[in-house]
Amino acid sequence: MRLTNKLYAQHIGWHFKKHWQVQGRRVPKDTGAAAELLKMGVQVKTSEDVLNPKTEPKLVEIVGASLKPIPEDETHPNWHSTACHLFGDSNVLLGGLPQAQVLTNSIEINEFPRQIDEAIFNSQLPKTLDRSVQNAIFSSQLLDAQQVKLPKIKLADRPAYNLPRLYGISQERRNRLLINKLLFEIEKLAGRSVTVRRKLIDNVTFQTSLIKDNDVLVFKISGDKLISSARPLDAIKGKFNGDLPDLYPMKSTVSMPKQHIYTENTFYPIRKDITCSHPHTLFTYFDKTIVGNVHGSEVSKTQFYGRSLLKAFVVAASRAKQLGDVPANGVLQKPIVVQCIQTDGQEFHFGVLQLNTLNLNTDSATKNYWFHRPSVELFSECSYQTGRLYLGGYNSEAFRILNAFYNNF
Amino acid sequence: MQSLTRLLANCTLTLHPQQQRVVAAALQQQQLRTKTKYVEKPKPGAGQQFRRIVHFPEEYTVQPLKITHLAGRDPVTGRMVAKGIGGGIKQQYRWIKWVRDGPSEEGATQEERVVELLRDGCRTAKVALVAVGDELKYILATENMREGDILKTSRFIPRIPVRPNEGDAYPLGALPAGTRIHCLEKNPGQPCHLIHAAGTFGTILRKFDDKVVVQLPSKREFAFDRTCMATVGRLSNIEHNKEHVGSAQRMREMGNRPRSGLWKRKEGKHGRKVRRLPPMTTIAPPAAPKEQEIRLTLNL
Repeated sequence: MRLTNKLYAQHIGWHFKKHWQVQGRRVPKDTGAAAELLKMGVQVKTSEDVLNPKTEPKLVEIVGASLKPIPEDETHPNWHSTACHLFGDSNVLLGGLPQAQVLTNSIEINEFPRQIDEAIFNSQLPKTLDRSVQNAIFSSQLLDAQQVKLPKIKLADRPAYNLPRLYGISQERRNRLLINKLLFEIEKLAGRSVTVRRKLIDNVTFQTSLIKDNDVLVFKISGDKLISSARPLDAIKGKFNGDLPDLYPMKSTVSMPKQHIYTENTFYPIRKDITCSHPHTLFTYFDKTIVGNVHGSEVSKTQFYGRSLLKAFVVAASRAKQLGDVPANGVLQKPIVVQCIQTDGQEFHFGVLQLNTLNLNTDSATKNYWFHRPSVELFSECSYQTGRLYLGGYNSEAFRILNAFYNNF
Repeated sequence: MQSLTRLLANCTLTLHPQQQRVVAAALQQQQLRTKTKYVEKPKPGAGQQFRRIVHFPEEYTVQPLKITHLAGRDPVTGRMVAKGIGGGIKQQYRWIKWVRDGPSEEGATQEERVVELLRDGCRTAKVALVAVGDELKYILATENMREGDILKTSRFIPRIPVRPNEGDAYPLGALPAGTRIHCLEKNPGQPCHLIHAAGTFGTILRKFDDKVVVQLPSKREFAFDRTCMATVGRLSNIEHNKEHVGSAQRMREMGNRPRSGLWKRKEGKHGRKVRRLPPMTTIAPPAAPKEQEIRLTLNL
């Protein structure tokens, strides 16, 4: 039995409905009546205004437990009309090391300063040390008890495939454990005479802002570990010349996000009247799930190197500004030397920056120096094989350089 | 049997008031079922796509954008419009900057560097990340484009046609006949660019008055204004049309549902027709915006 009514297609009401679907839509033609009435001084209102006059909802200020978020617009107290270019922890420079060089006005020297080279060459490490370093690698990469959900892995050629979710030691913890254990080994070797002149601080932040060719640059970075020393590192002896790379047609600020809300103050984590306040070495971790390009691509080798340079630069620049003896032309009377080590737990990149000037403009005659070598792998594989710990491609070079960096003064 | 019929005819159904109300409500509901809401749906094939919505931010960005799958539904009414769409792997959308703007003075060109070539899951051709000054943007990559290439853009039309390289953008009037082009502006300033699909290209055939005749990938000829901007070269991923989908599952991964089975290649209206191409057509200027209409709300 049919429950609904039958459609009477010839029903006049049905026809009216169909017709109204077309005729119910009209474009009003301007007859000139409104203009004529206005000429006569009669006020013209739309029917909508008369029938549904707009009423503003009355805002009631309620004092609640949570503060209202400050709107991120012109009313924000830190709003500037000129946007700054920001370099933070999670972005890298698109142009990699060449862009970092132009941005920080630094020339690249593809070797370490002579004293570090000599220290690496002359270092006589005990034979048992390799075993200790390997144990440090095992205990940080495999033997730690932490079990957290690791980031999702996607296969590029099989995007629909969901791999089983792995649990293990987080990248951040691996890095932290490895660096702590390696530093422990180094401190044992160095002895008390050196270690009393060094202090270690974890999770430090640095902030500074500079002006380069009328662009405001704001650097806001965090260092995962800072070694500070009682004495500043000596300026590197020797004369170094070189040219800055040509980025044409890119500007050195490309891929740095623009922001209107920023502060121009400088922050260095240790007060300058504290004994061990001089920056010595900055450790920074690289986690590809956090650090990435603006356009979502993988970070390349040169971008990895560029990140080390920028981190070292921000430490040195914020220290120079804290000391407060920067003349008008930006050339520092006493250069600041900072060592930087970037690692993803496996690959180590070492560099030394000598900050000669804070003048980043293209016409600056004085340049900063960036000494570095290509990155070194501490090991190529660390896993369980047939139920036993396995370390493949162990390279003691990384530890020797790390040791030389720590003992440098 | 007769007595039974008589008995039933004399029998009167007595209902309590509460029961009566229930019956009345049921009857009313039955009545309401016939009163349907008239919903206006858009027609498929009118330039609107029902596969996904891209969540565009206010300002241009090279960040991969988030999308929402529509599965063939009209986002306004939520009603099914296009059949055979649904599911698939969630891709990220890269916002292409279609307008290639350059200086309009003689001899001046804007130079841009190709930084990276990328595969975009939402389109067939490859995408090139291009940097100029402190700006980054995406354009469609051409067949032979490589990282580090310098692309030129100019809006000036010289007396003698320019000798362009792949990826350069010039007005149609500045390019020599026989040039392969893509990303062709339909009308000067109109936000509508033709020739986007992988491996396709248009060819500049001849020029007359202030028009330039271009053969589009459909082999049809159209006359465009000579100031319409076009990018030189054939689009990347030229093997795309020869690639096999391979499996039904791959089809599902691409977001397509099983076909209806009603299409017959060789029969009836779907069958092969050999016809001459229509003659050259001049591209009409963009239509004037539709006047705002009033919806009268008489409840019929």
